[in-house]
Amino acid sequence: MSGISDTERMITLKTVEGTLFDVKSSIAKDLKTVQAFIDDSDDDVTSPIPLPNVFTRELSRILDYLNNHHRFRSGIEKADEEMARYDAEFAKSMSHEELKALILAANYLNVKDLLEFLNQTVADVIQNKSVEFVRNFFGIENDYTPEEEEKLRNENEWAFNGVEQD
Amino acid sequence: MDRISDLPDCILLHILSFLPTKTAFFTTVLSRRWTHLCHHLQHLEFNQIQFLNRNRIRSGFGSRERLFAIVNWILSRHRVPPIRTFRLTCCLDQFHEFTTVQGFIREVLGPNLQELDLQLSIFDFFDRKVVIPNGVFSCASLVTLRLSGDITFLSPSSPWCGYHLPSLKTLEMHDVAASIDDVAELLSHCTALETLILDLNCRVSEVGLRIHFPLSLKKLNFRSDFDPLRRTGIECRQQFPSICVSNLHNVEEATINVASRGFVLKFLVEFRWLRSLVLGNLVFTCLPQAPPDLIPEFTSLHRLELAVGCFDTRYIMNMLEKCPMLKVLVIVFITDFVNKDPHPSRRWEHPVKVPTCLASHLKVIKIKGYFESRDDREFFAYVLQHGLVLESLDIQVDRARAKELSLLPRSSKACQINFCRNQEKEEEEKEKEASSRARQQWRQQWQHLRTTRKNTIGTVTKNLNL
Repeated sequence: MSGISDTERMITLKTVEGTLFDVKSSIAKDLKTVQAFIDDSDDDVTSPIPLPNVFTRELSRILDYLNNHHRFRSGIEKADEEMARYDAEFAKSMSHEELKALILAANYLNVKDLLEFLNQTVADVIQNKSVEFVRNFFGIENDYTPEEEEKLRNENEWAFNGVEQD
Repeated sequence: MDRISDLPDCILLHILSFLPTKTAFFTTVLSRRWTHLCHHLQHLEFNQIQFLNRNRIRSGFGSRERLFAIVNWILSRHRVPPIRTFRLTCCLDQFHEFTTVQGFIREVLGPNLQELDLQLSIFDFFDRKVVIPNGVFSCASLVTLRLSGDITFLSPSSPWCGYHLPSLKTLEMHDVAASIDDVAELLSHCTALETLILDLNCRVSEVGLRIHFPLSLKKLNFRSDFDPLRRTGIECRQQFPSICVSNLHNVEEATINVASRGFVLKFLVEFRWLRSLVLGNLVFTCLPQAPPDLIPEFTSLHRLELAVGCFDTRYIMNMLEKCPMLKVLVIVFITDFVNKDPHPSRRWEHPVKVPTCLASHLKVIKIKGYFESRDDREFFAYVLQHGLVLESLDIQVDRARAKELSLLPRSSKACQINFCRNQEKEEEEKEKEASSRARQQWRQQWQHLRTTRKNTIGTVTKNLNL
C-alpha cells in the first residue's frame, strides 16, 4: 500500500487454529519464511497469511521474544544484562515439550536468532546428562539390543567417561 | 499428546554443534539414527581437558595422546559432509606433537572451512611456538579465525606466503608471537574484516608503526603491552618515532588498551563514527597526563567506559567534555592498583563549564569495583546536581555510604540511585564472563603450570651448577 512507511505497516498472520496476529512489518522481517512470502507477492499482502504448521501458542511466544529483543536492541544502553535475564526466564518458562514445539515453529518460520538460542538451550540441557534422560527428552525409541548397545559403548568408550551414569 | 513429531536431522545436528565433540559423540548410542548423525557433524570442537583421566598421574601426556587419537579417528572417517568449524584447545610438549597438530589443521583446511579456533599452550621453557601452516592464511572460505597461545606464523614478506582472506569477518589473536608489522601486513589482506581483537605482547621495530586497518572494520579491540617488563603505573618508555594507524573511520565499537600516550592518541584521532569506547587499565597509566586539547571530540559517542586505578576525577571530567552526546558512562576500578588516591594535581576541581553531555544526554552512570576516596563526594554531588536527564546511577557501596549519597540533591526527578552489594555484583559478573573466563582460565592454568615447571627446572639447573 503506497504512502505508508515500512515500519508502520502491519501484516496479519493466521495460525492453525485460525487465530489472527497483527505484526509490524519490522518484526515480520525476522520471520524469514513470512518475509519471503511477502516478497513473492510483490508486497501486496492484504489478506492474512496462513501458517499451516504453526500453532497459536508458539507464534505468540515467538512474537513475544522478537518484540522484546527489538526493544532491548533499540534501548539506550545495549541492555545485554537485561536481555540475558529475559532469555533465561524465557527458556525456563517452558517445559521440554513446549521447547521442542517452539523449535519446530521457529524452524518453519526461519527465525534465525531465536533458533540459535533455543538449540543452544537444548544443548545446555542435554550436556552431561544420562543416555536415558536424553532419550526421554527427544522421545527416542532405542532400537539397539542391550548387547549391541554395550558393543557400541565399548567402541566409543572415550566419549563416555565423565558422563553421569544411568 | 502426539503433536511433537521428530525433530528433523538438521535441527539435531544444529543442537549437537553447540556441544564439544566428545560430548556430542555420546549420542551415538541413543538409536541407530543418532549413530549415523554424529558422523555428519560439521562442527568439531576438542578440548584436552575433557580427556583427562580420573587419576591424574601423568595426566598431561595421557590425555593428549587420547585426544590426538580421537581427532585422528574422526578426521579420517570424515569425508562427507565437509568440516565447517574446527576448534582445538590443548597443551603440547614434544616436537612431534606440534607436527601432529599442524597435520590436523591441514586436514581440515578446505574450501568449506569457515571457522578455525586454536588455543595451544606449550609446556616448556624454551619459548617454542607452533607455526601455523600458511594454508590457513590463504583459506578463501574462512570467516572466523581465532588464535591463542604459543603460536606464530610465517612473516608475510617471505616468498612462500600468499595471504588472502577475502571472507574473513572475525580475527582474534591472543598472545600470538608475531610482530605488529607482520600483523599489519596480514590485515591488509583481510578486506572484509568486521571484528578485530588483538591482544599481543610484542616488541615493535624502532623504525615505526604503520597499520592500515580494513575499511570494513566495525569493531576493534586492541591491547598491546609493548614493554612486558613495565611495572604497573609507569608509562611505557618506548617512544614510537612514527605511528600511523588509518582507516578507522567506520569503527563503531572500540576497546583500546595500550600503555603509550602517543599511540592512544593516534587511535582516538582516527575514530570518527565511534559509538562505544572502552579505555583500559594501560591507558590509565598514560592518558590522564595528556593535555586535554590533544584528545579529540567524539561527536557520535554514546557509551564510554574508563578503567581507573583511583578516582581521578580530573581525567573523568576531561573525557566527559569530549563526548557531547554521551548517554552511558561506566567507570571501572582496577582493584589491584597500588595507589588508591590520585596525585594532588589530579584531584577534583570544579569544572569551568558543565559538560554538554551531562546537561542534555547522559542517562546512565555505572561504577564498578568502586572503593571510596576523598574526591568522590564532590564528584557525585556535581553529577547529581548537573545531570539534568540522569536516569540511574549504579554504584557498589556499603549501607552507610549509600544513605549519605542518596541524600545529595539531584536535579533530575527521574534519577534513581542503585546500590548493589558487592557479592551480588560479583556473582552476576562471574556468570556473564563464564565463557570468556573459561578460555582465560585455561590459559592461566597452563601458564601457571609452565611457570612452575620452569622454576623447578631453573632450580635444578642452578643446583647442578653449584
